[in-house]
Amino acid sequence: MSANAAPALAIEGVAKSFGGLKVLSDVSVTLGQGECLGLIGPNGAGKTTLFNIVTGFLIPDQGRVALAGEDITRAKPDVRVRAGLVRTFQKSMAFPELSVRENLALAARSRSGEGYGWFGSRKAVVAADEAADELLTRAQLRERAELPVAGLSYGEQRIVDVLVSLAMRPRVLLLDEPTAGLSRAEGEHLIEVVRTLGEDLSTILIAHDLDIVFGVCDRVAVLDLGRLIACDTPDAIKAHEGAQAAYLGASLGEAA
Amino acid sequence: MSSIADGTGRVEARPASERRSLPMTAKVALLALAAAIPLLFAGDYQLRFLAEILIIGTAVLSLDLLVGFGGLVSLGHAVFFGGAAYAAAIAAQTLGADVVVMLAVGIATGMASALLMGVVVMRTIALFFLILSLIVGQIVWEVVFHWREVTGGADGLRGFPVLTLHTGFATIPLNNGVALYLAALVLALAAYLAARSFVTAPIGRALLGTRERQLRMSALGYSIPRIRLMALLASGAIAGAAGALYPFVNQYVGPNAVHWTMSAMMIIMLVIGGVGSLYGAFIGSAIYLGIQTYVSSYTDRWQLVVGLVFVLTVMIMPKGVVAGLKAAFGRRKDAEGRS
Amino acid sequence: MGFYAVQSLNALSFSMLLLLTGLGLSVVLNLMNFVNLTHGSFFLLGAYVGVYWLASGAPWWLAFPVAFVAAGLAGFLLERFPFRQFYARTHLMQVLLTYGLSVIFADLMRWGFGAQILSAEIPEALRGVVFIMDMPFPIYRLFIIGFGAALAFALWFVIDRTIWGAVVRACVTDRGFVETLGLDTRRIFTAVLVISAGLGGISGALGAGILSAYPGLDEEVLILALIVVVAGGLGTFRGTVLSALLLGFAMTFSKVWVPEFSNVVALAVMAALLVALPEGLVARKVRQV
Repeated sequence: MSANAAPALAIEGVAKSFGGLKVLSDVSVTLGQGECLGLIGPNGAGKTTLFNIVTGFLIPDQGRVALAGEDITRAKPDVRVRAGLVRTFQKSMAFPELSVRENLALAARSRSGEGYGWFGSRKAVVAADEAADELLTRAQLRERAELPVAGLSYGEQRIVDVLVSLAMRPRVLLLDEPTAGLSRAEGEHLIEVVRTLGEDLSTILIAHDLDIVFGVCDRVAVLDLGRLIACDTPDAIKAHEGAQAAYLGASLGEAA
Repeated sequence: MSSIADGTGRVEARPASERRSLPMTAKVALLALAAAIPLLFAGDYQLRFLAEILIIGTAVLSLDLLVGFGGLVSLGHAVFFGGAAYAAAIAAQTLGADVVVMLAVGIATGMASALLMGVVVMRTIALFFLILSLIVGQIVWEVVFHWREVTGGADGLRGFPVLTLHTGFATIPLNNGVALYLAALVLALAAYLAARSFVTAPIGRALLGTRERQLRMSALGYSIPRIRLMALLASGAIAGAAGALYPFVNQYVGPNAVHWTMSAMMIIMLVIGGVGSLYGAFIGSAIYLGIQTYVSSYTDRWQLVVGLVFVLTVMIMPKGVVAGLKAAFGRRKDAEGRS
Repeated sequence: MGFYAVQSLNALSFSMLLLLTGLGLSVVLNLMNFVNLTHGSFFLLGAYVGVYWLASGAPWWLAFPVAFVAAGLAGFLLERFPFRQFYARTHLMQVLLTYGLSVIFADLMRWGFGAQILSAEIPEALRGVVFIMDMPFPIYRLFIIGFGAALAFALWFVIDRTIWGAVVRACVTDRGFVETLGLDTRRIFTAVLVISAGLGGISGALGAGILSAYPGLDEEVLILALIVVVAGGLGTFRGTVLSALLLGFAMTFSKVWVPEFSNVVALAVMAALLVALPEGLVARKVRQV
């Protein structure tokens, strides 16, 4: 199989336990090139654990993870990022006391490999700032560049989080509850930013807001108690009995 | 979070318009004037003492890179400094004491010890880092203390060739107060500029990031061990350069130079001067050594005085005496302005 | 065979001193999240009290409660000011404050007790040796092992198995919650610190019989206790016991086998441990993301 034909991300038979607690068992999902995959499931279903395994913050007990056909199961987090696999976190992880631009520049410099420069790094600093400003302009946040992140509204902070991850020019982007705590309009705007700014981007989106998931994702995977119980098109998932049962009565059909 | 690390690493954070101080050229001129005053009034002994302050201050400056910007409180820092001092002292006996050679030997030794330290402590943080750096430092001290043939054991090493500077025209001996003071001044200035460029460069920003949020930095694609190792190497190089000149000030280097209490002393100096300010390293070194030298001629209780100054600084002025006094005077001025 | 049995007992008695001192540090760290580097000063204070008491002719066994009270009192005063103001601060600030205080106490004790080495007069009842497999072993060291084990067990029992321990542990997790139960958390913290300081004092009085008392002993002991607590995994009881045994045995047996490099070997063992297990022997599991 040539690298081009390989899926952007392949998760094969992944299992993970903490002590006696089985958090994930035998989960397999693939993410096609340019695809947007929704990942849903009740609290404690193992969604974030799966993200942690894919991004290298946890090593699975079994199974493997491949990025564009290349095995990365045991690679360190920073190696995966430089290979184009980027994530966001549930909580905002931006540096609150640094300016918006500096936050984005920090990300841009890591991707370009110039993040460790010392003497003669002036050019790299300017280039990263310019890259940051371009992203901010396109997200219509240019006038916020100088402000410390702590001075932004909550909705703007979440967008900055996403912009930080986009500044790393990912091939695969994992979004962990990017819309939590946002209004419907803010959430939709954030997803819009990801879709317009991330070209050729393959995405996995965790969100509790099923409207957003069903509205933007090409396929939706449902996790429950660490098992993948369904993975199909939004319409098929809405009709799926197991998925409905996992959400205990919250009719998936009505949600959309 | 009123930690000591607050506001550190923001060397250039304030916009110039807010600064009430003088323009750059005036500052440089003032600094040059201040540096020249001792040459006119101080005797040989005082100049040697000032050289010692500057040299140890440079070592403390290198510690500030780790503590103030990386959040890495090392109790093994004396190894970089003292190790380089021993290496220079030993090398001087066979190679002669050309200042350039000495600095090269010191920097190489400082960086080699930093590399050794880095490999060992890489994965630890906080108290674990503190203790592991302490253990590594004490292992080195044990070796220095017991390896009598090379290090002189408990007696240390004394009597080195005269430190010299080879220029195109002549060989200048650096064996008097004036020359040593000037050499230390150049060293301190170069070290300050190097440290400053480090903390404002991408690597410095990345190091600051690892202090605040490690997880975030790995998620951004940074390798935390690599950042830490670079910080340790930079710090080791600066401490090593300082260590290379140290034996020539008092013509002596002893095992205390690598002992953990030396590292603790550097931390005390750093805190008194102001963590994360870079210049504070020299202030702290001057205050500590000043107390040690001048108070001890009146009373045996100079350690009590140092301890009190240190504890009071931690309690009242956690950002160091300069920042603390500035804030205190600023408040008084504000109050006067209002009344 | 007998030689190794006696050396093992030697190691055990030293481990017990390390354990007692380490426990004092670890109780405060574990229960109050406070790093107290004045602990070595409590130890040295207890050692001086022990030396003077045992030389005074008063009933010898009272030396240990008296050392406990003396160090406990010092702890009580320090808790009032300035420790209390630093409970909510970062570990770094606590380290700086308490290290600075320990520098002050070191100089005060040098002033008060002099710079010479004072050795303790071991009481009649504990003098002499017993023969273990034909090898002599000092009775005093057996006493340290027995007394220390009993003390450590009592401490473990109180913290792990009684309601008092549960209350103190609850204080760390959620102070406000304990206060809504009508308990005064300030008093609880004071009590923990007094007990910790007292433990330091008792360890010092016990240790004076082997180590004597002299300026600088406070720092030596502090460093060893810190290594024990940190290598044990920061304040788990089991970890502290294990690492006290490891360090005690490493120091004793390296002295037997490689006397010239004994400290290097013992330190290297602890360093290797921390390199292999960067969070200590028994790490507390915390969710990261």
